[in-house]
Amino acid sequence: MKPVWALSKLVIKEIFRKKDFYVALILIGVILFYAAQLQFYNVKNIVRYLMEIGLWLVFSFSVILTVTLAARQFPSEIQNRTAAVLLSKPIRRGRFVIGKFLGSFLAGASAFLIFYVLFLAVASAKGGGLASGTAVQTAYLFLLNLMVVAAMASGFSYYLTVSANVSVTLILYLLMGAYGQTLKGRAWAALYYCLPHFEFFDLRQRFIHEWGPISAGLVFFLTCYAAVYTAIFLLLGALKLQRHSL
Amino acid sequence: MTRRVSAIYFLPLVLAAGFLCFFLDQKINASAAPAGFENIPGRILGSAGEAVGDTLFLKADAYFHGGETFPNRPPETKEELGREGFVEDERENEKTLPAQPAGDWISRVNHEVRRHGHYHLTKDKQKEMLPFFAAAVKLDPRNVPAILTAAFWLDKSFDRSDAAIEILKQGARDNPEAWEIDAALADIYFYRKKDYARGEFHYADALRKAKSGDLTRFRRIDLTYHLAESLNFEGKRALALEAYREAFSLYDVENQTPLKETIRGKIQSLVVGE
Amino acid sequence: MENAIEIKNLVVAYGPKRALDGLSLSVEKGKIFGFLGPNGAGKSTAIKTLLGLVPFYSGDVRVHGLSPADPRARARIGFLPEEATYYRFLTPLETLKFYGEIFSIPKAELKTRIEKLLTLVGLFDVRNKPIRTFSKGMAQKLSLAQALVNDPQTLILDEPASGLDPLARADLRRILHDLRNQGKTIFFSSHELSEAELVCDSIAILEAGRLVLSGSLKEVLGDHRDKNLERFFIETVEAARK
Repeated sequence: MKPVWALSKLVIKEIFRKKDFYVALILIGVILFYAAQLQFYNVKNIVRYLMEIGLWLVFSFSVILTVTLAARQFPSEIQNRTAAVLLSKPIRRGRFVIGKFLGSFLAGASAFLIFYVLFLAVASAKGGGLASGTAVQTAYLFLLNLMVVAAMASGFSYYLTVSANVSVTLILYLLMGAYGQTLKGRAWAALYYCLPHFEFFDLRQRFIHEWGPISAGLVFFLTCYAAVYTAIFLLLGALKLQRHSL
Repeated sequence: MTRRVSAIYFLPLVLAAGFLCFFLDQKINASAAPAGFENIPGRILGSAGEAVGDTLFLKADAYFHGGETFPNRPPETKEELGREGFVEDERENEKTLPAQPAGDWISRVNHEVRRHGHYHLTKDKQKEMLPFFAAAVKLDPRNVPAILTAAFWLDKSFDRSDAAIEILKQGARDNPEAWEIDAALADIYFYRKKDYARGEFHYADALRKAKSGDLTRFRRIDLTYHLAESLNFEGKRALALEAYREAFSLYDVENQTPLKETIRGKIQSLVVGE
Repeated sequence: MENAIEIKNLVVAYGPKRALDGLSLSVEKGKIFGFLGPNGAGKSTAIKTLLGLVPFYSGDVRVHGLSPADPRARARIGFLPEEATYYRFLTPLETLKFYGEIFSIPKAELKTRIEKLLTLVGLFDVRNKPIRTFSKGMAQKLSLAQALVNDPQTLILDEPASGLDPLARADLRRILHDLRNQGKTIFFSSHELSEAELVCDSIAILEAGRLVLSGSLKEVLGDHRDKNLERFFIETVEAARK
């Protein structure tokens, strides 16, 4: 496991040493602080619009950062010729795939948690108490969401170029997240049953409108669901890499 | 393949593009709808502002219903009406959804993740709709329902009559033909501000602007009656009597309503007072 | 004695083209072995096969008695690539630490080893500078350091003198001789035949995926003492092409 963890740390260092994360953080901060200081007819403690904006920003930037990071891991190793040096060391190709995925996911998760804490601080300051149970559950399910997205981008990175991978992954993510429930017609049955339903992990509306958390059983099911899809995408990537001649 | 663009050719191009943009901006602004400093988002979005404004207005409706958008929310059940957090309301004419989702496990999981039920915001939470009203009105100044709804909530739920009046006044400037805005303004002046002169002005304006098909008979009666009341409170008895008679004349002979009786009583008292 | 590297009848094909066509050679332990050939001869393919980077081949390849696909074989190898590129956002210290962790070297031992290696290659003073600020020569030095981080039994070097000035090349030759004297096997490919002549114990010449000639330097040049290695190489390759 040490080689896997070493690879993961490398990817995490990458996200915090490049400017993408800081640009996202500054943008989120600026927009949140601007939105928080808006007044509407001198009515105090209006917070749900801020939560809607903040959660959308946090979720979107986290997904974009994670997908772009995961998508470029293997192609940049090939392009920069570091793949040969790395894979000439005693690390199995399967562990290489896992290490790259884990690093991308943990890097994206770290970025998300930092954004989320900033959002919670601003929203709490604006509107008082937020439902802590739902806040935690929203974050947890989004992390599962991020795990699947990272696995998808990671797995595709062994087949596609960076730009193709980012486009395909984000399109599928948006398609399933926004229209996943409606793809039930015959022509779309394959997508409906085969692709991961990202809308399962989106608790923003429950959090914003104080609907309360979902059941523990459902959380457990969604955890297993995310784990299965993660494994599928990583397996796809590993199968391709096993046959890849460097 | 790239080429180095010589600065001596590039700079004049940039300056020319800048002048063209400035010239076009002046032309657009001269023909644009009223646009002050506060309408920058509308100016940036242009006609897309209307679509965004409409969406935000629908968002306010969704917020009122606890985040559920029409037509996804089911009509409220009797049990839900009696529960704390639910506000008794008329049953809305909405598409009925089944209580449990049919078919596959994906639909069932979605059903569990999404909240289901018919919900209205309680009074202390109704303020959460205000940002969307504010944005909808700003981005789409011609969305009369949004203007009226925003003013209604501000006046009735938040006691912000002055803010409601400002929105309606701006709405009247942006929509000079909209009789509904005058009617709403008149109601606020009449009931909240007890400013019968302004009430009279706006009731008369609403009646003047409304075309023959715009008003139902009972709405016309209502407006005419309130015009008469405003005149009466101002002491313009002759004009008030004329307006009461006009309102009364709009009833069918067989109509027997409390308001008709009230108007009859007002006419009689004014006639006696003459 | 078991050879460090054994290759028997190795065939590697990329589509219809055979990059290696029945290559067979052995590399004795504790020797410096020069792997020479013109461009496109198949040297890089052979090196990649030894490193387990080519998944499909026919023939038998053993590194210290193990298949290159076995991580235990790769644990005994240090590889210096032709082009020295590493993670530009890391420092030399972090780079060596990363590779050391891939080898699962204990922390305390890794720390000591990294300090020694950085001193050996002359990068100790810049150990905390990002690699993106490095010159080609500095990157090549880092390359050598990472190849030695696991104290390998066999070093595989692809154009080790590339990018080095004459002083640095002299240092490299000294390091290679020291490593050989420690009992390490060094297998390198190079176009710098003058360098090969100065360091190698044995050589092999490859042409069009096939071995043309191999043996100790003395044996190979034995009857051709009037020629230097470069002239001998040119004549041998041209003869093989006819």
